[in-house]
Formats: sequence, structure tokens, C-alpha cells
Amino acid sequence: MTDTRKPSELRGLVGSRTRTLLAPRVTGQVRYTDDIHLPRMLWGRIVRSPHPHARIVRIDATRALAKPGVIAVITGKDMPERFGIIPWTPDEYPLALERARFIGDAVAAVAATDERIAHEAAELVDVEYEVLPAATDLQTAIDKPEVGLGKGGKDNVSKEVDLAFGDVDAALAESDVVITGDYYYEGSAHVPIETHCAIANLDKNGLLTVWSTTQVPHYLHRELSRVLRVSPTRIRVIQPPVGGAFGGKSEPFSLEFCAAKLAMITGRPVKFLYTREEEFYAHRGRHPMQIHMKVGAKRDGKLTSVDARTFIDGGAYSSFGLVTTYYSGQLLTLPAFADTYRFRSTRLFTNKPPCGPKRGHGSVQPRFAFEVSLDKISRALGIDPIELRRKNLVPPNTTTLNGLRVTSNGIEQCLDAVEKASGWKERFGKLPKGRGLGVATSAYISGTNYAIYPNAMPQSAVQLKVDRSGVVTVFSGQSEIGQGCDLMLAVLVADELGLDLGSVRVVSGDTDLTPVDLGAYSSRGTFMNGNACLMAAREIKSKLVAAVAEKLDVDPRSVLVTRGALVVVHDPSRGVPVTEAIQLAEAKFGTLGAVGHYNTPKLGGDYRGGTIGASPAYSFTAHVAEVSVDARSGIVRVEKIWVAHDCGKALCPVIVEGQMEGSAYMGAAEALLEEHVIGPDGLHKGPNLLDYRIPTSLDVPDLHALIVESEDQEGPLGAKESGEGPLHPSIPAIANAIFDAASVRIDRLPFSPARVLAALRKKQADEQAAAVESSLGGFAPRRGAAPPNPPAAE
Amino acid sequence: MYDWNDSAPSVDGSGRVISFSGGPVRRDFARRVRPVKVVDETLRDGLQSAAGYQPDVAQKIDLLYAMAAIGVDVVSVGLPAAGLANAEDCFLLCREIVRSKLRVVPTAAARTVVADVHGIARAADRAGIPIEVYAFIGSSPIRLAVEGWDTDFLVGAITAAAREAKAAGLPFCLVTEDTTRSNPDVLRTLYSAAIEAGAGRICLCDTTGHVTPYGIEALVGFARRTLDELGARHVELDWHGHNDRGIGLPNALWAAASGVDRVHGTGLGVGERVGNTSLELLVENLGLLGARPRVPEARLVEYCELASRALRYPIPAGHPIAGAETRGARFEVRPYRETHEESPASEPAEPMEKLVPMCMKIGGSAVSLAVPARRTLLEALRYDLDLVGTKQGCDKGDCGACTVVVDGVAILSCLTLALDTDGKEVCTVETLEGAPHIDALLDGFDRLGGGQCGFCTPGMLMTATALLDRNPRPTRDDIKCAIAGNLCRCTGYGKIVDAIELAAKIRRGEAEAGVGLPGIENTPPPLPSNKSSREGRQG
Repeated sequence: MTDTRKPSELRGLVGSRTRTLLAPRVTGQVRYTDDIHLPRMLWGRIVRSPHPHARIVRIDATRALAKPGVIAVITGKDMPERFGIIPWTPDEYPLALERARFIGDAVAAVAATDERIAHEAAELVDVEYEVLPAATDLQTAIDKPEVGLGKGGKDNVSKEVDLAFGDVDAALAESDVVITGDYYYEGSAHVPIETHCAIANLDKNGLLTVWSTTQVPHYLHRELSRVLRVSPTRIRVIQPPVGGAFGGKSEPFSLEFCAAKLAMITGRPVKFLYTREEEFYAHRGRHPMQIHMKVGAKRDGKLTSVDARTFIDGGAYSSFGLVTTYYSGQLLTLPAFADTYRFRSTRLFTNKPPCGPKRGHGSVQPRFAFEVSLDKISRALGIDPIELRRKNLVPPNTTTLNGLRVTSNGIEQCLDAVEKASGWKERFGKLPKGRGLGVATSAYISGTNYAIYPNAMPQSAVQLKVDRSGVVTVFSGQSEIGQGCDLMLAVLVADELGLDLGSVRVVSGDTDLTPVDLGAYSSRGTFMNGNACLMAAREIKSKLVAAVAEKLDVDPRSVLVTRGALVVVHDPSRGVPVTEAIQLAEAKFGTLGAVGHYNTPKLGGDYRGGTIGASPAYSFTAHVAEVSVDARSGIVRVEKIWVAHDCGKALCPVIVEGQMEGSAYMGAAEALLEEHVIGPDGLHKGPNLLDYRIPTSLDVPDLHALIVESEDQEGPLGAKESGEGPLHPSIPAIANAIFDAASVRIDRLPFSPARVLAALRKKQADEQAAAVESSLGGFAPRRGAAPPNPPAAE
Repeated sequence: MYDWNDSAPSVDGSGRVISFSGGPVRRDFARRVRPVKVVDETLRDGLQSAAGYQPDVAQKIDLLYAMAAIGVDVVSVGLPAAGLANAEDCFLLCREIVRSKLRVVPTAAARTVVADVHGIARAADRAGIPIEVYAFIGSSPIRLAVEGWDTDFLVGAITAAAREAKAAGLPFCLVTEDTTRSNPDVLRTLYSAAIEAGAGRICLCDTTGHVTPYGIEALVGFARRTLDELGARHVELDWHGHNDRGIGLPNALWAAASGVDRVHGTGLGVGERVGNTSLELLVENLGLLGARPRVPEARLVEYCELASRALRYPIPAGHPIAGAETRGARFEVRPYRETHEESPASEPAEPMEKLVPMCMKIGGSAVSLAVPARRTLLEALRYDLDLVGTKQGCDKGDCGACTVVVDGVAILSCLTLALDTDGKEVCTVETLEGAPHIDALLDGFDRLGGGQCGFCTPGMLMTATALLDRNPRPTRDDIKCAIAGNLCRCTGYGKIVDAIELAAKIRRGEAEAGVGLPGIENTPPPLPSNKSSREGRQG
């Protein structure tokens, strides 16, 4: 008799609302990087450029070194090696060597006996600058190539991507309606509550240990070795639990190199902890994008073409910019799309804090422009916006226009779910003035198909250690940053082996202890490590089954793993507790252990850049937002967001909901509150948590997470990502709801009261002008002339 | 390099050099200098200089810290009998020593009269630290003749003062002024009387700057022999020498080489008439001789600057350590022997911050600690008490991650001075109980996903603790309002509100606690008996 039930039905752990026992972080006992204090530890502090663009003429550390308690000062010359997360664009130095490219660029670092002395000493490092012309906004970077921030100094271009699929011009010409819009997506910051921190220590055997708040310990390991010119065998990177990252910790930063170098120079442990202000300047946040987009459709609502021209404000360095530039177009072709597509994206360097990947890397911005365009089309054609999307959905098990392989696809169920939960059919367009509903959809990757550096080795790997007491330990290189990926692995292993969650430990993020995983980015953790875990756990399971079958003298195929015991399928009264099964297997096979790994299949379009955006699976999301708009103040309040997300399979629904709600909240915050604005002088407008407004408990809408499961064929037990996708539709759903509520389009983020109020007033003035015009019949004055009866003041 | 400090050529009987090293004087002086304690008399003798300037107590306290920072062992806090202000300053300096746990011993000068000893006893009582009494009295024939005193008078005064000090529990030192010109038999009589009355220390004085190193050697030898004869080997000797001949410093070093226990000096050598031994040069030279740990030059400079300020006495431009013209121009001087590891780097870099003792109750138990006045509660918790559960997210009061509960009120520990919680009850995340009797809030957060990255969670938990303590039945809006000062970047707050609601229910007994917690207890199976194991084999 074979087991026909799904694994999750057997053991009951997957999909259950279990306690998050593996999260001692909930109980405040976790030791984060900054909680580590080593004996004789020194404190580091980075000296940062006060100019947006300057040549470093001379650095004199005499005054700093004379200060009691200052042990060492290093400059760019101590580490003259370029680095960068993308191997093709290394353009950063741990400390700037010749030029500082933004206010806050690191130029020197100090180590001192305590934090205060380090901060004071940093002020005493005398740096002589020759100030250079700067481009502190996108337009200047476009208009003034002579600033020369790009490679070779001829222009300011960081990366350009120009891709076309099908005959766009012809398709647009044949369209019944073409919506053209200019959109501006403002930059935003990650703002994890834990700021960046790193500690380095060199032991007497020459082993360099670096503790860091990184979300990519493996890449950090490689870059430390390269930049410091230390063999990777003499470096250990430990990633303690991270207090939030959201992409902001997914590449090496100055502090890790400086801590390591100073530890090597002084022979003492060195800690760097970024202040909240430094956190804003270190940045790597969401790229501001200026998007000019045309979307065409036939009268029946079928989309014909999308044509996008995008300028991306990259800030001072490349970071992930090469990928960002592709993502600004490549990820738009799901879930509802047209038959032809062209996008040209140009990322420019500016003298601002460098931008990088923030939750929904590169694809949140064009998603806003596109989903708002769809709303405009639906209004133009008089088609319900949900119906419009349904007409254009890319079906499951197909390949998109730009060559992305799509397998499981639950977008239809997502749309159904938000339509139903929000009462869309009954309420859309029927709410009182000042209140409105808006819809938007999106899709996102579950990991990328290719490692950041080309190699044929697995992307994720785990080792399982089985203790005869009944405890199984998972060693995984993945980075727990609060997203709950350690718990996911524990659930998978516990479920596979019939264990309680309390019997599984997860050790992660330590290059000495754990096999390589590439890191917590592109929503790959659960998908890839989960598969690696299942591979290892199934090997252990087969040994347990064999040992139990031998003991009970039955065919191994009739042994079933249930929660707590291995039983005989046709006679469940006969069985062996899991712990005993482990001991039987250990007696039979020797010490139990297993490795598992996951690598992606070869995927992607057959053209330059065709692999960027390729993923083994895609998640899908639909949002409906309900907003109220106060016509007198311009204040927009998001009352509710219904988020339906196809995560494949919810291994742990509490965590999946947490990711969905957290994403939707973060998107709503970008829509309404957050602005990472750098002034013309290169200074951040408000690098603190009062001026940079992340929402409080009183600012957030009611969030309703609706899990949709499409059981992906390649995901672990069917699971796909849920950490980034659900952010995307927040912004356009809110924008579309504002239009529904107040009939104004705000195509520029954030939807601040001033901006909304200006739009409302303009609309009112336009309406009055139109009324006057129509009352004058054919004798209307030319547009732009003063109306005969100026509108009375409000 | 040939170092005449270390080596001298050995010569034969005819004066011919037989070896260029290992001669009889090799390191002789350095070897003779014993480890010796240093007494700083700046705030007493230094204030009797010609300038006559009296610094305010703040300047005195600054100087006190500088003294501690250069390793001064004993500090004279002044002459309380010189006036009410002086007495108050003596008290304040001693209180500072107590509060900040400075590792210096306070002494105060007194005329050898009971009233002066009384004054010191009062200051000691108020400050809560014994102050050594340095009672001075003239002992040379010149002084006796001028004052019309005789030996009996001196003995009577000494006996009365020493007994008074003993009664007050204060150590007593007899300071015989102008010792270098006093008759040995008079000295012997006075020492005998003092020791009999309880004195534990004799201070040999060259108050007129009269003596040479040979005189010192003779005097110290005499004093030691006398003490031996009196059966008072426990009595220690001090050297206090003036600089009228300009050889105060060599004299002091020679006194150290001759075997005294303490040597006196004053900042920049300022003192009565032409001054005293320069304390900073004394410390530096004793360091070079290996008799004391060496002190970083920067601290000596700082000491000189503070002494200069307190005494209104400019640092001479040619001062070997701190002179404006000579600073940094010294040859790198090499210590004779490195008895103490030279590691200025690992020592606190600046004059120690004043530490103030305080205590608080954390989780019901009292903890006491000493903190600098500027220490925030967050720093005290994280750095001094290792309660790292409380987090720093912004250090500006914006994020709420550092929230703790003080006397029932949720406060931001990054904006609260540690000293403001002196005597109060502080509740941190560590004080919440874990499994099996898990705190209701931990229970709720764990079950309902109230935390993701966990960095804001300790602050949330503390805010919620204070909320539920004052309002056991909060509405969702109450909860949202309560946690509005705690920023969370992961959850969107919904699950946090859920968790706190559940915790409130658990606390009220309306929801079950600890659902799904794995059992911790283990009931071990009975140990296998011989019989059963035999059966096992048979089976």
C-alpha cells in the first residue's frame, strides 16, 4: 500500500499555526552583533566626506592620533582594493582613495578605546579636499555629463539596458487607447531598527573573525579575503541574528573592512556601530526612478503594448545597479501583460548616498507606473479594473514575452480573494465622495537562477546532524534576518522526520560551521534552503524507515512517518517512536548525518540580460486598498488593505501573514510618508526617525492577509516566496484608490497632503475653467487667459 | 651606545680600565630606589606659595582627578583649620574621593593642637572616609628659641594631638618641621612620644631647603635606627623637601633611594617660598627608575595644565614635560628597568570620569554600580550590567527600542540618565519569566507572530508590560496608542496588537497560557535490571 496523502497531511506541522519556538528573538534573548562585547575591544568610527564630490588632497591624522585613547587611524591607502557586490562593477573602496563621491562617503577610520573618544577623534582627522562639481539630482546627472561620475569619466552613466520584444510601434499604432504618463518614484530607505554593526578580531593564530549584521555572509567572506588580501582559509564570518535588513545589508560595507583592517593593525577586537544618521547615508535604498510609460489596449481591454523609458537615480556607486537596471523592466511581464514590450532604462550616478536593493528590488517603481496605467485604461475603456487584469493574465505553465518560465500561478485566485474580501463588486465606484477603492497586482521571483558570481556549485546547501536523544540540528548558511527562514527549515525537517518543532535546532550564518548559502536576497531563502533541507531530511528518513522496517519485520514501503512515531501503514498500532527509530538507525548505519543542496535549473531568455529575472518560481499578489481623502487638507488615509498572495504553500501561516502584512505596510509607507530626499547641497533632508517618517502603530491601515496556495512543483512542499512580492501592489493600489475617492491622479510619490491638495485645487480650477468655457459656448477665451470670474477663495 | 647610567668601566688598583661594563656603580642608584608612594601636597603646600591664590573647589576637584590619573597615592586635601572655606573644600574633596572611588588616600594638615585634629575628624565623618592627620610642629633649635618652646611642651602637644586622632580613628603622622636642622636627641624624644600616643608615621622635613643628599641619607638612617630601637618598625617614613637650593627633586629621589616610604611633591613644584619638589618630575623620574609604573606623558601634561590653572602659576616655558618651548623636544628617555609593562594604550585614555555610586532594583534584586554622571540608563544596562536585551535603535528617543519600565512607567532608557533611576525599580525584558511559566506577553508574541527580527520587541514588551499593569483590559485602540512610540519595521503592527490582546486575556485568565510549549520535564524510564537485560538478549 502506498501513501497517497500529501506529506503535510501526515505530520500535521506544515501549515499549522505553531508557536515560533525557534524565535528566541521574540523573547529578547537573542544576541545581535551589537550585543557582543569582547575583552579589550576598541571602538571604530568612520570619517566621512562633508562634500558631495571632492578630490582628497591630503589626510592628516596627527591631531587624532595625539588624542589620548586613539590607537590607530587608517585611510584609503591601507586598503587600495576595489570591491562591489556585482563582480563586473567593483567601484568602491572601503575608504575612498582619491575621490569622495557623496556626503557621507568614507575617507578614513579611527579606532579608540571607547565609543565617545572614537567619535571625537574622527572630528580631529584633518582632510583637505578639492571640491569638484557635483550632480545631486537625476536631471543634473542627465544634463551635465561633464561631471564625469561614470566609468572613464566621460559621462554619468552607470548602466543602460535597451530591450524590445515584438513590434511596439506597430502595436501602439493599432491600439484603441494609449495611455501615456510620467511617473516619479521617490527613493526610500530600509530603516531596520538595528543599524549596521561589525566586529572583527584577529587571534594569535592569524584567524580573522568578523561578526556582521550582513545578510550575505558568503559574499562578505569572499570580499574580505580579496580586499584584505587574506586567504579565505584565515577568515571566518559570523552573522549573528540580524535586526531587520530589507536588502539594506546585502553587500559588504566600509565598516566590515575597516573593523577587520583595524583589528589586524591593533591586534585587538574592533567594533563599528553605525549611528542612525550614518545608516541613512550608508543607504543602498530604493532607487528614485523617473518613468515615462505608454500602455496601449484594444477596446475590449486586451493590452497591446508597453513602452517604457526610465531614468534611474543610482547615487554614488554601482552597488547592485546592473541588476536594478534590468529589473526596472524585466519583472513587469507578469502577471497581466501585453503582447509587445520595449523598455530602455538608464541608471545614472549622482553624488548622493548609493542606492541598492530594497525589498522588491528595482521592480516596485515600474510596477507603480504600470498598474496606474492599467487603472487609467480601465477608466478610459469603462472596464472594471479587476476585469481588465483578468483579461490579460499570463496563464500558468507558460513562458512570458521576455522568456521567463512560469509554472504555478495563483493570480486568479488572488484577484478572486481580494475582490470578495473587499466587497469590490458591491462597493467599487459606489463609495461616498472622499472614499475609494483601488486594485493592483504584481509578481515576484523566488530566488534568482544565477549566483552573483558565475559558478556551477549549489546555491544552497545544508547539513543535518542527528543526535540519538532525538534532536536534529540543521546547519545552514542562510541568513536569518527576521524573515523566519530558520523556522521554515525547522518546520520542513521536523515534518519530514515526524519530530516536534522543539526537537529541531537550526544553526545558520557562520562560514566556519555551515555550508554555503548565497544569502538572504531575491526571496530565495525558503525556496532554495528548503529544498536542500528536504533532500537531506529524506536521506535520514529513508534510514529511519529501513531500520524500523527491519525491527518490525515489514516492508519499508509500508512504514509511514507520523508525528512522533514511525508506524506501519496498514496497522498503525504497530510503530516505533521517532527517537527510538533514530537509535535503531544509528545502530544499523552508524552515525547519522546527511547533506542536501539545491541548484536552479538553467532558465531564462536567450539574449543578453535574459537570465536576469529568471527564477525557478514566481509568486503572485493582488491588493485592494481602501482610502479616504480629506479634500480640505489633502490628507490621505489608507483605511484597509486586502493582500492576497500566492506563496505556493504556507509552511507556517503565521510567518507568511507576517511577511505579507509587513510588505503591505512598508509599501503603504512608501506611498504616503517616506521620502529619502537629498538636497541640492548633497545633504539628507532629515537623517533621523522623526524627519524620515516610518509609520507608527497609529499610521498603519488594517491589513488583511489572504493566503493563496498554488502548490509549486519545484518549491519545497510547494512553497514560494512571500517576503517581497506583497509589497509591490501597495503603492499603485493606493494611488488608484485615491483616484476613485477624489478623481485626482498623483503620479509622483509620496502622496503627501501638500501634493494631494495641490492636485485637488488644480482639478477644481480646471473644472471651474471648463464650466466657464462651456457657459461661454464657442466664444471661450483662449486657455491660459484669466477666467472672467476668478474662483472665490475657499 | 654606552650608557653611563647603566655601566661604568671597571678599573684595577692603578686606575686602569679592565672592562667597560659591569663596573661597581652599574645600576647602583636605580637598584637602590625602592618602590615608593607619592604624596601630592599641591592643595596644601602649593596654596602657600607667594601668589597666595585660592582656587575654587571645582578647580581643586579637577586637579584631584588629574592626580589620580597620574597615579598619585596620597593627596593632601588642605589645612581645614585655615578657615571655614578650607574646611568645606577638604570635605568636598574627600566626598569626591568616596563617590568616585578614586584610588587615593586623603590626608590633611593640622597644627599639632587638638582643635585642628577635631576639624579633620569632622570632615572625615561627613565624607565617610578616614583622613590621615599630618600634624606639623617646629623641632629645630632655631624654632624652639624663637617660639620659646621646650621639649616638654612639644611632647605634651604631640601626645594630646595624637591621642585625639587615635580616638577619632584617624591615622596620625608627626611632621617635624626643619628636621634637617634638628638635634637627634630632640627628634628621638618627639618620635618616642608620638609613637607612644599612636602615631604610625613620621615625616622628615627639609622645610628650609637646606639639606643635601648626604644629609638625607644620614637622617633617614638615623630615623630608621631610632624606630628600630623604639620597637616601632611598623612606623613609616615620609620625605618632604623644599627647593631653596634647586635640588628638591634630586633630594627626593635620594630619599627614595635611602628608604623612605612616601615622598612629597607639588604640581610644578609650587610651594612655600621658592617651592617644593616638582611632583610631575618626581613621578616621571621614579617611573624611569622603575620604582613606579610610567605614566603617559599626555596625562602628566594635563596634570601640569590643571595645576597651573588651579595655582594661577604659568607653566615655565622650559618645563621639561609641559613647557611650551620644550614640549616634545625631550630625548626619548629610556627607563632603567621595565618592571611594569608599558601599555598606555590599554588604560583609560583620559582622566577617569567621576563615578557616582547608585543602586537600583532589577527584577526584584538590588544591584549597585558606579556610573559617570552622563551615563544613560541604556548604557548602564547594556555596558555596566550586561543586560543587552534592551536595544539601541537611534539613541535619540525616536524609535522606542530602548524602552524599559521604571517604577511602573515605560520610559526611554536612552534619554534617561542612569543616576535618575537611583533607588528605583527597573524592569527590563530580562525580568520577564520564560518557560515553563512563560510571561503572558512572551507567550502572546511567540504564538501570534508579534515579532519578526525581534529588535524592537524588547521595547514593545516593556511598553506592553506597563500598559497591562495599569490597564488589564485594553481595547485595540488603547494598545495602538500605547505602542505608538515603539517603531517596528517588520510587522505592520497588526500581529503585535493581536499578541498584546492575547496576553491581556491570558493575564485575566480568559485564555490558556503556554499552549504548544514543548514539555521540559523528562520522566526517565526505569533503569534496566539484570533480569530485563538478559531477557532482552534472549528476545
